[in-house]
Amino acid sequence: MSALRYLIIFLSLTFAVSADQAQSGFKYGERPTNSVFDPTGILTVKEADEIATPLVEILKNEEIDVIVVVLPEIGTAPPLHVARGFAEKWSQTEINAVVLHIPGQEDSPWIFPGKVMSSTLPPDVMRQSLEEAESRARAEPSEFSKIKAASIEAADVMRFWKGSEVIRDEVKISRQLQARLIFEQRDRLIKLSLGIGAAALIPLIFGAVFFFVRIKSSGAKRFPDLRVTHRLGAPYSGGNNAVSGS
Amino acid sequence: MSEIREFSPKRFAIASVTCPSCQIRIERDTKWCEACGFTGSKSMDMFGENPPPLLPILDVVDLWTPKEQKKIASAVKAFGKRFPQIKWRICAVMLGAEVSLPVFGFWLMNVCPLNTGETEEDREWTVLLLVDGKTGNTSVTTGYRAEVWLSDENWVPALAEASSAMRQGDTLQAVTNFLKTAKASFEKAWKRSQAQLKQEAAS
Repeated sequence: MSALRYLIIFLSLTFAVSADQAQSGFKYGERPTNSVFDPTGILTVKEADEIATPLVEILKNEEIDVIVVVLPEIGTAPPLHVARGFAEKWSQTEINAVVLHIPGQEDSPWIFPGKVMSSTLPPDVMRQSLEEAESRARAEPSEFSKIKAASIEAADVMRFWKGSEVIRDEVKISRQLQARLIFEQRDRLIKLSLGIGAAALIPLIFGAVFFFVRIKSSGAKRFPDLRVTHRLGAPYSGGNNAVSGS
Repeated sequence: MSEIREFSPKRFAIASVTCPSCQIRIERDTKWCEACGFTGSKSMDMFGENPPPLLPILDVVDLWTPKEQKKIASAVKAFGKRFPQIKWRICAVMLGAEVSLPVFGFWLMNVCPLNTGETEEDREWTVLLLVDGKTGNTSVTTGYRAEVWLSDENWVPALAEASSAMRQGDTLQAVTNFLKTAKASFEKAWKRSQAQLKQEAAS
């Protein structure tokens, strides 16, 4: 029985790979529902909504995920790394981008596309169109308008590239790969579970067989019935000579 | 109702029968011993006509304490689970060397009245273990249905166990060891009987 207990514990631990694993440990916590993360408070609620509304629509209708992140500072970390961190933890689709803005910084905001884009498109082509989009956004007079412009530019760029055949194929392949990975993982898990299950079953089966054999062999035994012949005029026993002395 | 087939004892018996008085070989249906003239009525002349009831544990000489008798009863019960047909009677007496244990056992088995609830068939399946507290001798007397499966020689190992314990003064162990060894002997006898039945069925 202990083997079965270990199997149950193992399976529950294995399947309890946290759904929050992707977000556990991220210092900025969970993704905000409206795709705009502004801990600086530089945007008013109305301004944040104005930026977020089209982004939510694009996400819903076109599966393009643009996340806007406004941070007070990023220290010495390259903006690309910071943006990638947000993309890895928060992005919900394959076609995604992070608009990263540090208020007061001259070369901000930045637009960083997700892995599918950046690994598929030629780097110089991608950089050129992004730089153009970024510079248009940076030219805006206010922080709000800069962020809004950058988010629109990012969505437009994503939309444009998404339409391209290269990206379409890449997304398709990526999805196929992902699905295969999931299946393989599940397959491995199932095989492992079956293996452990079988290993646990073997002693159980042996135990059951042994128990059954013991039970069968431990039952009452009956001798065949006999016709009785009497001797020496004795009704029940003819006597014998089984004696042992001390 | 299906009929239970009854076999002739000769089919399964592994030894011939002997006179309890003179140990000469006799026929299974003889009315008296041709060598010494022994019959059942002679045993009544020797020991009387009023024996005690043949109880499962008959200890007329206080050989065992009540606690020991319980242990003996428990061992008998365990034996009965395996071989329910065999009915044990364990009897402690003080007879002395001049009295023949086999004849005394023959007398007890045939002259003691049936107990309440005991049938003739039960008595025929009875095995009586006699323990003589005076001499330390032990003997086994078997009913007609029980005698077929073990010969006198087959009983020797079990009786030797009992005697060995009696020599050491352990009267309880004498019985429990005896029963343990007897059970092993009956296991072999049972397997033998099943093999014979299978052989018969095959032919």
